[in-house]
Amino acid sequence: MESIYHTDAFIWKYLQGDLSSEEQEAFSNVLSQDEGLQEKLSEEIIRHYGRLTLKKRLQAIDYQVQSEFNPFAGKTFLKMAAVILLLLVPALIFRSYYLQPNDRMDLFQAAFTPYMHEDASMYVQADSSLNAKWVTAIAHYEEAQYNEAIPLFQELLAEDSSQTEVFHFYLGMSYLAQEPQQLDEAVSSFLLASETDNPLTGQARWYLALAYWEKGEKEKAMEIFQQISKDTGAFNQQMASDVLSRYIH
Amino acid sequence: MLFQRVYSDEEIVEGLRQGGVEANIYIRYLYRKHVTLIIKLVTDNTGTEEEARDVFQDALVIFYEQVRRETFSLKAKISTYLYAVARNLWLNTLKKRKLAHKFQLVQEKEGAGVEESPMVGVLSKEREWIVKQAMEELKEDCRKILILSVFEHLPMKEIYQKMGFQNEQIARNKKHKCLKYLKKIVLRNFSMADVAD
Repeated sequence: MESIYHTDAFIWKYLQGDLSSEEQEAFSNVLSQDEGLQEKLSEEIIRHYGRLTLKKRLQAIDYQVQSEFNPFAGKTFLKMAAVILLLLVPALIFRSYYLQPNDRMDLFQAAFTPYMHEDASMYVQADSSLNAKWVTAIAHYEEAQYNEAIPLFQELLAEDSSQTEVFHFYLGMSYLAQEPQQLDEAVSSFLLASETDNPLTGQARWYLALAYWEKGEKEKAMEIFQQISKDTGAFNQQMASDVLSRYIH
Repeated sequence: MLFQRVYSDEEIVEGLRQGGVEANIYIRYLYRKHVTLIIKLVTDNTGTEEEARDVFQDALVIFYEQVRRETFSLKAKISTYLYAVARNLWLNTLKKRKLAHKFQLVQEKEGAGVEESPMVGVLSKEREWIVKQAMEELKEDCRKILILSVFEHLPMKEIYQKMGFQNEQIARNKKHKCLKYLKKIVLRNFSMADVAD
């Protein structure tokens, strides 16, 4: 039966530890026998945990926004943008005038999309001291700000050895997705990310194959696409089969 | 940000309702757009910039929770909503500090159309630790399904697809099992805490 103990306000007071000793004792007695109350309290705990997680994300965004407002950071960004433009424009002109479309380009364009996880923040414990940096790095990555993400992933690799493969994977993704690409660095990161069995091994193999292909190392790429296509349940198994049948003759 | 796309309030609400990676873009957009407004509100009323950022983050959490509810409809501009929620949160803080009289009651009417806020507050470190312990004792998939269902208010037909279950019923059973397990953990952890209190 619903009572005062079942109200959101009372449950919240209990969670806060704001009840008098009599109220707390009465609540605990009801709680031990009343499954409905246990469920309501559990749901309030889930909601509170959800809020804590969201607030962590917001703190990371705040850190990011403050860096953007920092005039020195702004100048650095503009300098980097200018360097990228200087590198990018001749490359684009060269590509459009002297390179004909070919298999290598077509495959990469058709098969590559930056990897997105619906909740990448889960790879680093919410209460870890590195969580804010990780969430910031992922936020930059998800907004395609690879120049900002790369140094943060590098710092994380230097500071934490428990999630090395995950950091290498996202570092490799950033090298591969950015313009201009850093293909040697991407290959090396994906190799390190796929060395051991971890939650992103399959993804690392797929993007390693794409990075090899983009580098022009077709045989290495083909070998990995073949492995993926034969591996039941592997990440992008079907796509690897499609790649083999459409692009590799 | 050199090139920041502008979103309408309707687009933002729709984006936040999608959840996951897509929602992150809109959360960041809201943050950049409105943080200075709330900093001014709090610092004009005896608060520090750090306190203002904290209040703004709590206001955004409240807004996000409201938007995720099926019953939510936007009755005021998002800026009005955030301002009104932040204003109430800061006023409550000042009341606790016995400083409410110093609050300049500006833009009272701006709160019109804003629904009641859910419970958002700070727990003591001990209590917060118990909450975290309880949730982190769950396996990853359990924690995820409970958050998607209870905090994000995602319907089961979306949860089962998002989490790769075969059908809605399997997801429903999984949630039931996870909630049952959490109830056990909560009962054990809180009983121990109550005895310690």
